Amino acid sequence: MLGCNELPVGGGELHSRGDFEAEEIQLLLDNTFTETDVYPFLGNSLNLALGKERGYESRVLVRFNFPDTSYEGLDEIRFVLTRNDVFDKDTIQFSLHLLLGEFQETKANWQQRTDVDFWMNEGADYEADPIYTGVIDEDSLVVLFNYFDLQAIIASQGMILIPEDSGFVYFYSREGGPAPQFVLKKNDDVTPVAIEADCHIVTGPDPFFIDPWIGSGLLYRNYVRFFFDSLLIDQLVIFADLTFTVEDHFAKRDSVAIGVRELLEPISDFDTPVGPLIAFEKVAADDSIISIDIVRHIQRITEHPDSNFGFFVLFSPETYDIANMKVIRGSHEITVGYVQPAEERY
Amino acid sequence: MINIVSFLICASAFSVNGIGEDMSAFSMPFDDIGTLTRIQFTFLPEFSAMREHGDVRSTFWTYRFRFYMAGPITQWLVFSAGNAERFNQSFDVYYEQDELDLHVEAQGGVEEVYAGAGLRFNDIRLAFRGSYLFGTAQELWNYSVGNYVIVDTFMYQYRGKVFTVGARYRFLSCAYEFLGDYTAENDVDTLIELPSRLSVGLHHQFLGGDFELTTEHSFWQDTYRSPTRFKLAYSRERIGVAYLYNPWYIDGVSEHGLDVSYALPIHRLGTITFELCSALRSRSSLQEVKISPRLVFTFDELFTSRQ
Repeated sequence: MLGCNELPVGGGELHSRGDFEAEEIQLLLDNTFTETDVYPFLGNSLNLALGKERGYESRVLVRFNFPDTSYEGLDEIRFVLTRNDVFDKDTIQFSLHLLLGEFQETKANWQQRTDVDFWMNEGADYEADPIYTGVIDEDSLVVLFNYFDLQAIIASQGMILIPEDSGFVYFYSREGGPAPQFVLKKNDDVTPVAIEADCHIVTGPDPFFIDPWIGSGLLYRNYVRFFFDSLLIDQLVIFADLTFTVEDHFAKRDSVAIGVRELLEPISDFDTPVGPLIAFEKVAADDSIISIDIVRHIQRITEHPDSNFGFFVLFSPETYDIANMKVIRGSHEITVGYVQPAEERY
Repeated sequence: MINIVSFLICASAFSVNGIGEDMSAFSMPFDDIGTLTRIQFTFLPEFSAMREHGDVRSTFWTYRFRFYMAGPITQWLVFSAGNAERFNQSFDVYYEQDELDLHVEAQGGVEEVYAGAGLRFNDIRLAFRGSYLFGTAQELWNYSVGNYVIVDTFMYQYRGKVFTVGARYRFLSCAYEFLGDYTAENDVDTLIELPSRLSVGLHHQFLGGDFELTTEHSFWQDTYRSPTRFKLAYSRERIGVAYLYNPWYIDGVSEHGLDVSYALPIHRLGTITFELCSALRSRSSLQEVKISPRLVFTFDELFTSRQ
């Protein structure tokens, strides 16, 4: 068709409905600091992290539901943890111990073994002598046990894998992929034993609260609040870029996902109620400048300036792995682009 | 698909302004039927092309159809009813300013259903028509800066009324439209008072054909200018031609129109009229050409006839 195009022919007629000046402003940073949860419950994580590095240490707890049957005459007793290849392939030494206390998968952390009971010793109570020591390299972990080991494992409250040197490996948890499993082989019969509970417990750095950190595994939420500029009232906010500079990072994968959640009330602590994710950005773990579109936040506070409670910048999901970014304090900036909206016809 | 849809809903870029394109110019309330009942369907597709600073952009828009029926109740009383589009608020316009790209799509407007009565006493004809105005309009304003896009939506719902009376004596006819208003419901209700309108028509036999001159003046209060329009029409046998000068109520928008028509009688049924309506609208550097090939099916004595 002749001239069936998107040329701005006649666009000047729109001027009766507005000026449509596109403008940019920068908001002024009010405050930023870090809220931390150094005793997180990681039972729902998609991965089981084993390792220690940069002040972190993560141990893996597993418990199997062995059927009440005879285990004599087994040809092979195999314990398998499948490695998640998304992460770096560190090689680490580890030891495997029997637990002395029962743990709840979703209620265990470095301090607690259940929602009401604490470990006698932080980092879990386990037999001093390992039932196995070894090295995890690029492959998944396969440990062969004998009948007596198996009897001890069945009689125990579970097992704990403890890293013995620096580095991290990640296995799939039962929520994330091929679950940890015991495989019992007798003649040609293979009997898998279902896992009953798995999780990892973590300890690590506890940053000074005025240092803005973002972290998963140990949860660091970077609280950020900008002053609202009344200039934006009645304007149509098209974009709002939050940028900040990363001073240092720790991650065992190439990229991380950063999310933003708005606070629903003034900041009080780590558990201040937040809304759903309003921004999500996958970035290279070693990026030094991070940029996230938080236009939904600015649009909301433009509409409701009284509810500018700030927002948390966090890794999403926060339990996926152990990683952190240390942000340079004062480097947060928001550039807001807006236009004067069209007037209604009447 | 979106492009196709927008391609189908475009009308005048000038209808961005005011209350849209006035589609009721030169309409009179008289029912020109004899002793037969008449039913009429009109299909009005519309093409338009805009030109500004050497750039050309065409659009296409189609108004579904228009219905009209009139029937004699007695020798001197005629009832009629029908529908029409009153104000068209559809448009599809792109605009660029600095970093901002703006695309606005709008669809809808104010529709009208009417009922009327006509009285005939020898050479005198009187007419009354009452119209209920209704309709919806939606505007989608797509703002984009770089890769960022935001859409703002306006929705309007309309309810209103307008009345017309008319009188015709031999070659002279006049009509007056009054008490017109409608409420635009959005976040708040806004009452729009429509202008009263005085129309005067002259009819004369000339060179074996019919010559008509119609002029009308709309009386806007302060909001818009009050335009005076006129229409010259000549028809002979099956062929008709008309020139229309139709300045809009929006400041600076003028329109010149040319219509030609050919009426094809259908034996014992009615006529099919082919009309080619064209208009040139302009305001400063923007010109818009409208071409609307219309098809009018007129059925007489479909149901009954009365003496």
